[in-house]
Amino acid sequence: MAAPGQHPIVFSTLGPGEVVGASWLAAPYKWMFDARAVELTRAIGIDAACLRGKCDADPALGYEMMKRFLPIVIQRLNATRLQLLDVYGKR
Amino acid sequence: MASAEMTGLAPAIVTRRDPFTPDLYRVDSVVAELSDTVTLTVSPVTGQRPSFQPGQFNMLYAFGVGEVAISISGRADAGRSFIHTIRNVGAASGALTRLAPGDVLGLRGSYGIGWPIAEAAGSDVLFVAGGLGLAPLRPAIYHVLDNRARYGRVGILFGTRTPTDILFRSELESWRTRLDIDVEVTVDHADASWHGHVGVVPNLLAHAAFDPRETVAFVCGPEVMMRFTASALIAAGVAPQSVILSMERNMKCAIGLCGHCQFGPHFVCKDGPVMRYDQISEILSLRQV
Repeated sequence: MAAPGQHPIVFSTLGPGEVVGASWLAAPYKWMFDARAVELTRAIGIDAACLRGKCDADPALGYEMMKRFLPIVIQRLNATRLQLLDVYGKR
Repeated sequence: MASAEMTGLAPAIVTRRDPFTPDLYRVDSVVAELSDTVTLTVSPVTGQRPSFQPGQFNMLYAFGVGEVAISISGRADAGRSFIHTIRNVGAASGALTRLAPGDVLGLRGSYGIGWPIAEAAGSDVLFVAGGLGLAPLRPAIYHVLDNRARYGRVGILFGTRTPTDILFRSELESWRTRLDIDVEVTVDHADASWHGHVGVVPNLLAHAAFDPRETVAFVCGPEVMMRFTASALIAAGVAPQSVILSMERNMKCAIGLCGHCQFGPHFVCKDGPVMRYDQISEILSLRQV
């Protein structure tokens, strides 16, 4: 993530099998952060609008996608909270 | 004065010295680890230092300032010296971090229950440290590395605030060159010049190779970090009784008398600081204990 005129801030490192983003899942469907590959990376990109259309048409598929992605989103939320707590700082 | 024979009372037999009287130790060396953290090597002014178990602590006394509990961060077989890594977080610890070689301090110890490293023989071993929590784990890491054949897979997972806050950095880098252990380091915050892992310590578990059914995890760091890590370890399949934490509380007497370090039914100074997660998980999440 980079603010104008400032150096980018790295807040997460991803490894094999991990999901880069879930912004496609909920409105407004906008990327909030970017990602940079620091080594040879093979990634799969999915047409988000198409996938959302299929989820709307097939609630079983949509529910399955939610069940798979929601834990990831919650895990990242918890990790972000832990980072914000600054537990290694002086108290 | 009436004699014991006259009063019928047995005379007091003084076989132990006052447990609150510190021994005098001299600072042999000071290593600046971080901007607010130093490692002191101290040796007794007279005699030998007592033996200790990895995970135990000493009470260090900065004369005229105060006494504070500090874990031992050096080898259990390190000659006649104690090694302590101290962060300046208050008056007493700050005074200790300002000591110079040749200065004298008071020391009582060693106290508490250490890491059950002998019992972990035959198992995979995970060391999970956050910030200064690497210091109390270091003696146990030395023991496992010195007796590498007795253990299964060994992993060291370390998390800290930023790349400039990495404790024992050269030692972590040295351990990382070994082919028989996994060492992973993460930081909470970094700029683009850091090419290592960014994220919280529990996320490193996904990068560590271990059999959760045969793993003993030794965890030390801020309490919130330990709670998250313990949850992640158990979610990964590690048995709660195999998750071992080192607790930190305000210790005064260090011998289970004063109650300053009371943690539910436990006194951290004598029942800990090393404790099994399954024995404290109920009270670990309470807001006030």
